[in-house]
Amino acid sequence: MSDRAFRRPPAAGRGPVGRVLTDGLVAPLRRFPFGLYPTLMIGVFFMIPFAIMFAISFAHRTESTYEAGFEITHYARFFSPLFTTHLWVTVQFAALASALSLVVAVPFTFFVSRLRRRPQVVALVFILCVLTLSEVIIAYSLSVVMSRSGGLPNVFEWLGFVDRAKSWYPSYFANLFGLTFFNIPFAVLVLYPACTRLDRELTEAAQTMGASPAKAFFTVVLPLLDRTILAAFVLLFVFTMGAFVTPTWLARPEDTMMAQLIAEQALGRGNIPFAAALSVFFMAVTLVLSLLAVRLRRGDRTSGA
Amino acid sequence: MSGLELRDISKRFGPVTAVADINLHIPEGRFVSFLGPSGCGKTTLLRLIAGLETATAGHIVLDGEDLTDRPTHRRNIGMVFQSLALFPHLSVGENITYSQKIRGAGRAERRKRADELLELVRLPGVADRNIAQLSGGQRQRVAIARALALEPKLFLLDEPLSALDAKLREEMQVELRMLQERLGITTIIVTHDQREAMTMSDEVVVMSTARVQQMGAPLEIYRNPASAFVAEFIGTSNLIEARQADGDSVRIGGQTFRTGGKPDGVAAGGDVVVSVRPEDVHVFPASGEGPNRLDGTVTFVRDVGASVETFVACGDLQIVAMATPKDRPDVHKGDDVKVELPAECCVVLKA
Repeated sequence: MSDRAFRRPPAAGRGPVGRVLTDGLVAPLRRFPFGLYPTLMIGVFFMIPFAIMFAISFAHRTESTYEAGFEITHYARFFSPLFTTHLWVTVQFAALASALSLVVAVPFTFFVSRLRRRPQVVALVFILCVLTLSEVIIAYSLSVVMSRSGGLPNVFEWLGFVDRAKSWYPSYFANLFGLTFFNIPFAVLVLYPACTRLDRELTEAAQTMGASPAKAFFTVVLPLLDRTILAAFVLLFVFTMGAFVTPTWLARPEDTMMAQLIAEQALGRGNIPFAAALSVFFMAVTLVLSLLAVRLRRGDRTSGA
Repeated sequence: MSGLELRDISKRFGPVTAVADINLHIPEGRFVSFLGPSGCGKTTLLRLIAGLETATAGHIVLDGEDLTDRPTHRRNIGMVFQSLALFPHLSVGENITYSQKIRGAGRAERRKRADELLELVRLPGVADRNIAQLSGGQRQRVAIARALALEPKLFLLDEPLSALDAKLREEMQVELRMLQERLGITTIIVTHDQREAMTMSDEVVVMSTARVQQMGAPLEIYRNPASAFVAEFIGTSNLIEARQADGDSVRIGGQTFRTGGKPDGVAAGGDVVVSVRPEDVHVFPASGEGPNRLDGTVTFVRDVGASVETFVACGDLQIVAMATPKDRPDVHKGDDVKVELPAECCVVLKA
């Protein structure tokens, strides 16, 4: 090929058969525009299914299934209390769980990034281990910990904090706790690169000027990480909006989240068009927020200046 | 005792000793350089004084007060970091008055102080700019102003000029020294540049391998280096292996040379190193007889206008002589010459 710096020596014993193989089979492949590969993958695995779902969201619902049609009744249902209540609940959980996980993750990640190499690696491996646990295992384990018979409520009763142990789940708190817990490792991963890029001398300079380590954290580290933290918040928010397993296990019925609602409409009631409409709406929101997150990360202060 | 005292200070990082049993006294108002090659422990020593590292052993005492266990933010020091460590999210003025804000100073007071300090470092009128809008030299001045904002007892600088180009660096050295003289503040600068250390300091602390090799006024160290390492590190020097003879004389390759003195604890016949600065070496035509002279051949002449260096091979030895253009010897490459090592300029060191 023309862009190769050195010509490859001719292959020994390359006979007519070899020539046919390379020229006949490989040559057309060389002309194949490999740049199209991602487009193709996104098309097959993403655009086409999305187009089908988008079409179904306008379909007409029949007694048992749905038939082709064009109606916006499913989108109109968004204004029903069923939808608005649960959207509001979902937004609340997503916002609170994201914020709380960041309250834990920001100081933690900064602290880890200041450690020496070896303990830093240990801490990160530990966090990655938590990531490998499936949401199901985490939600189930938390439910055991919060159960009346086997968990913390019993310990509290034994310690005398409460008269009679009561199960802590399902509850608003249990769901919020589960979602927050699940978000923390993701938050750490998003924050970690920016934290390691923060020059140690910045906080040291603050200390030489009379700032205690805590004061230096609030006046130097947090302002420098503001964009990163906001981007992490948006990503976690999007992520939590789609939570399904944790609320199924830990939330009360009145705190049903959107993903559960979609599943219930699709699987429980066979209302595929409404589920599709919910999903389309959900995707639109996610897309907008994700774009916002990308923009925010571009403004990361630790990488510039 | 006023000033800064380091008593038996040691710092180990795991198996590595960065600073070993250092004892120093820096009187108030002095400008001192910690000079040494990289990895010699000079930066660690400065960070110990700042409280950014904790000493493994020993005490740090400032004006009679033991600072050893006091955290950095309560030591009242000003420090300029190698990266300068200016806060990118704050304006120039906010950077300079960060320490005052921490102490709860009001807006007007901070504004006034920022203007004063910028005036002091000769950079007026930039308080409202962004750090990113400043040039390297300007950032330098902002970092210095910021470190001086609280009128600290100690002013510490960790290779602050290393990022500047050569010309600007030399200007800043003179300026920094004049600023320090005006304020009379005890100042310690870490540097690996001997010229920088000699330009600015009252006293130079030469360090290598975690220890202080020599401490003294720049010229004192230059004239009387305590070891071959110091002679080599401060300026350039002709180091000649020799054997101690009787009294103030040494044997070099079968010839006897008179010297300026004899190191303690070296008996006649012991191995020594003679250090002679290039500017003290004189080159004569081969016919010129006299004491303390070696025969040799000119191998190279480096004439850079401001000075002339003559490289002479004397057997296995290479001797470099340096002269001003006015005193330049009339010799050329290939000429046979005699080099004189004046007795009073031959510093004899333990081998």
